Parts: sequence; C-alpha cells; structure tokens
Amino acid sequence: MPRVIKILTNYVIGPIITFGVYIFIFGHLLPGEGFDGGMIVASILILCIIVYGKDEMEKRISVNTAVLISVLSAIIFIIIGFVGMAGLRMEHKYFLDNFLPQGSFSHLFSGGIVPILNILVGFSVAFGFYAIFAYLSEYKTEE
Amino acid sequence: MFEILIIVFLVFILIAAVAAVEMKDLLSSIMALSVVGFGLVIIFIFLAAPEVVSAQLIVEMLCFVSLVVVVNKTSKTDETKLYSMREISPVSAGLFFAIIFIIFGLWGIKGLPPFGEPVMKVSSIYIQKVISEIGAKNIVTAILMDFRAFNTLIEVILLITLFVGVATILRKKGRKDAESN
Amino acid sequence: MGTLIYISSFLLFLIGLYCVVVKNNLIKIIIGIKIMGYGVCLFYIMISYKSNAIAPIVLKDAKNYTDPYPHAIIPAIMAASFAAMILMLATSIRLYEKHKTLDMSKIKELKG
Repeated sequence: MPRVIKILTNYVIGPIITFGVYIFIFGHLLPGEGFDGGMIVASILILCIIVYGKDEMEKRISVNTAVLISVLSAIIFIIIGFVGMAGLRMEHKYFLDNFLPQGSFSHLFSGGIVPILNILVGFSVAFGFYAIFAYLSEYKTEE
Repeated sequence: MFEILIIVFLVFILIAAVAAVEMKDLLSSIMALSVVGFGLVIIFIFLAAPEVVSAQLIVEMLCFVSLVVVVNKTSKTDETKLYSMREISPVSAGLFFAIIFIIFGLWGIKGLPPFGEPVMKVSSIYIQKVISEIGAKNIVTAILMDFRAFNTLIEVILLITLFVGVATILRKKGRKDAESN
Repeated sequence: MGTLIYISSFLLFLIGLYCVVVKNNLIKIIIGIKIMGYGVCLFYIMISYKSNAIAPIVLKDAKNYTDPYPHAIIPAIMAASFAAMILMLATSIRLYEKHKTLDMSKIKELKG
C-alpha cells in the first residue's frame, strides 16, 4: 500500500468513528438509528484491514474480541427485556417493556428505553461485520 | 415535475440492470450493479425516506467490496456459453413463468392504492402513540425499538448466526498445520 | 398514470430472474439474486410514498407524514439479503478451490 493512503487513513479514522457513534447515540432525535451508525463504524474498521494488513489489526482488535463484544451486546439486550417483564410498570408487564421514565421532548435522555437499545445494536452490528470481513479476507486459496 | 424525475431515474436503473446481466467481464458487471444500487439511493431521496437511504448506501458499499474481494481470488471473466439447444427446458420454464407473472401482475396492480396516497391503517395509530406516549422524535426508531423490538432482537441474532455460518464454511482442516507452514 | 409506475419494480424483478435462470457463471447468479432483492425494496418504498408530505420525523405543526412502517422493515430486509450474499460468496470460494472453475454446467456434470 502506498504511503499516501496510509497517511490519509490516519487522519480520516477519528472523525468518521465519531460520526458513526454520534448517529447511534442520537438515534431517537435525528434520522438514523443503531443499525446505520453501527455499519458506518464497521466500514471504517474494514478500511483499516485493507490498508494496514491483517496482521496489524490482529494485534489490536482480534477476531475473538470482536465476536465477544458482539455476543455480549445481544445478551445484555435479552437481560433488559427480562427486566421489563419483572413488572416495574404496574399495568404493563411484558417482554421488552419500556420502563425508564420519559424525559422532556427532544432531550438526549428521553424516550424511555430506546437510546440504550440503539447503543447496544450499534456495537453488535459494528463488531459483527468486522469479524465477518476479517474471516473472509484471510482465507488463502490453495493453488 | 417530480414524477418526471422519478421516471427518468427508473429508466436509468433498468438500463443499468440489463447491462449488469449481459456483460462478459465480471468486474464491469459488478460496477453496473453498484450503479443500480446508487440510482436506487437517489430514488429513495425523492420518495422522502432518510433511514432507508443511509442503510442502502452502506450495504451497497459493503457488497461491492465483498464481491471484488471474491472475484480477485477466483476467475475474473465469464467465459461460458449459454445453454445449447439440447437443454432448452430451463429457458422455456423461465419464459413461461415470466409471461404468467406479467399477466397476473397487470391484473393485480388495479387493486393497489394509487401512487401517492397510501392506506396507512396501522401507521396512523403508531404516529399518534409515538407523539403522546413515548416522547422520541424519530418515529421510525421508536417503532423499531419499542413497538417492534422483537424484530431488532432477531436481526442481531441473525448477524451472529451469519458469522457462525461463514466460519464453518471457510474452515480449513488442520489449521495449525497451515499456520506453521 | 395512477398505478402504472409499479411496473418498474416488476421489471427489475424479472430481469434478476432471467439472470438466475439463464446464466451459467456463479457470480452472475449472485448478481441476479441481488437485483431481485433491489426490486422488492423498491416496491415497498413506492407503496409508502405520500405526496406533499414530509419524512417521518416529528415537527411542530406538520400534518402529513409518509408511511413510517416500511421504513422500519426495509433495513432488516437489506441486512438479510446481504447475509445471504455473504454465505453464497463463501460457498463459491470453496467450489472454486475444488473444481478450478466457476462454470455451473461443468460443476453439475456427473463424474465417470
């Protein structure tokens, strides 16, 4: 890889990861949701694989770590669902109930349970796609 | 004015799709597929759907990168012949199905609502409930994460299952031997 | 002119179907399946369009929103189509290793 591309990637990683995280944190106020923000972070990590090579990225975020974070987010999702079933709201007692208080309209902490689920889905999607692509690109066909 | 622009882009997409199917060089047909994807993004902008626009953009780019990676590892051109006259049954079956599909499609189109006036029976209740009960500003996110949270949960599980599937298919026998060699 | 515009999504679906049935190369078949998926997504979004309405984000004094229900389902459909394509690509890498070609008519021949 030519040096120009490596230097440009160094500068570009920070703003784009910030942009992706911004989209899935503010998902309930702006157009965009956890899914979109997670895929933006995933595409930056895939760019890092292409530019720096697989061995460099294996030292920082290995495939095992990525799969661990992805599965942990899904487990926390299910646990939050069961907390809703325990009956914090008197009249509604079902799986994945919306039990946090609603703040003022268009504030960051509004909308009950929706921002937390956005963040979990964003992490899960980002590291899941990174792991899939890392596996697909390291496969060497035997000639 | 609006409708004329949408029709122009639809014709553009159809021509690009025909080009993607017929080209002999595989990299060129992958690029024509990306043209179809990005033309679809422009049509979605005209039809006022911001969430779908960002999802389609990112998925399109990931598809392009994956296809190019695979085409580089395997063959690069499409040097096959069409079916000869002996094996005509798949082509005729496909033609028969296409004719029946067009006939029933034209008959069924009359039952659809006209373009620009959707029937919104369920969505009107969702919109009222979001404004009064939940307090989130983005209606689509509130639908996906509160009224339809099961869909999101199964989507996340689908991604994990996809990783298990890819790791199973691309597994080499005796991976430790390959690493030491 | 009210409902004739939906024919374009049917035509896109039929172009993809033609590619899957007639072509012999594995990557062409995968491209055909992707085009069929695009046709379905286009049909869903064309159904949900409302003229002189804004996108479904709550504003103070707005009366008409476009239908938010398909906008929530379509990214999930796109992710599922992408997942299917990744699995097909992994299988085609394996087939190329074993038979040294991506030609379906050669792979389908019986040995012996």
